[in-house]
Amino acid sequence: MMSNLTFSRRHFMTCAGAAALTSVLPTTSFALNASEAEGLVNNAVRDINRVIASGASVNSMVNSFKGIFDRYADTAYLAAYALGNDGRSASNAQKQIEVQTLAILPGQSPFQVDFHVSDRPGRPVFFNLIVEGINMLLTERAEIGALLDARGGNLDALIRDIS
Amino acid sequence: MTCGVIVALTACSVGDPTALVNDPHETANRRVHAFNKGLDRSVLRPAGQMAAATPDAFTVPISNFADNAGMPSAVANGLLQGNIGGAATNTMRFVVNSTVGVGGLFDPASAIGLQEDDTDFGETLAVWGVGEGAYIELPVFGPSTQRDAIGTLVDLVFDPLDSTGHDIQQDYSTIASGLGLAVTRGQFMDTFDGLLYESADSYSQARLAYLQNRRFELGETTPADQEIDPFADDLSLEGFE
Repeated sequence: MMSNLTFSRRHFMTCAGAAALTSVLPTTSFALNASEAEGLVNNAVRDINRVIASGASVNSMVNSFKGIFDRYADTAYLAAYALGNDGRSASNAQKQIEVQTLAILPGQSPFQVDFHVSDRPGRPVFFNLIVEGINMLLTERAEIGALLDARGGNLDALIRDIS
Repeated sequence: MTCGVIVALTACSVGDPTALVNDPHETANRRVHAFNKGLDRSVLRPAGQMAAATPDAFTVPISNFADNAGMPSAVANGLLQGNIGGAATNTMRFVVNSTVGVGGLFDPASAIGLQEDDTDFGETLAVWGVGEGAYIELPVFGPSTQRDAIGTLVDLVFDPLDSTGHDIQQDYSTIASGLGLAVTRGQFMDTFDGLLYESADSYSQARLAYLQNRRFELGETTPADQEIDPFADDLSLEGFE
């Protein structure tokens, strides 16, 4: 069921064998640039492939993916957006960059996956994923919205039901 | 194992299509959606399970045959769109796969770099400047728009395969497309099941996914002022960090 994600570009980068790179992400605030955004995507894809290639149990993989998610994604932003949280502003000075990749899975046509990267928490993080035009953040927000609607907008009831 | 990356970098312009969902017929659409879900549960999903359990040696030729039988229509639409390159590629695909590929069962065209340039009359209408119109969920065919519904109908009624294809292609193209659909349903079993049966509102998820993906295919980007901005003023992160 689990197939190995392979992403390609003009230059293929092999990531077989031993763990070569350890990503050390700066924790201080900095101006995001294209190569940092690209590096983030490279590292995340490498980590995901490594987990899949490990052949571990599904439960163990899910835990590993959670770790990857915490490390590379802007989880606070994702949660706030998915809940449709309206209110006051965050800083406006940061940058966001789109990194386009092509996912190649065995037996399927290649499909486009765009990673949206920002430096909102002071390090590069994903805040959205677009798969063949389908915005994952929007999909999650629609889902959470529908779950809330079904409970008359009661967030406590939703938390009770999904925990 | 390869795990390369990154195709290109561009400045970010992220659309928010929810603002652009035009669905005045939602009540009727939801009824059709319930019907389509029932059809999936009783027919397409079981067929997909069977297809998924069938060796690729059988399912791949069926999908190839159905794809190939759709080439004359793609060529005609490519020409109507003024897409000469796409029409030429699809013509060569049809010729190569119908002959060397044994009537379309095999796909040697892709192996020599003739990748399918998929298109339909809905795209032709889009190229001609016809607007998307309202969202419509069609019985059996599923999510669509007014423009794409007309496109689907025209492609069904006027199929150049009737005049260009071999008898066998004409006789079996419909059944092959049906079987090809089952193969696809089986291949993406988890994705379809998640959307239809595990989401809180499968109608709105299907609508959202269809509209975004279709606009992506047609190169119809949403206006820049509908961006999702992680630093937008209306999003409070208080309590989330």
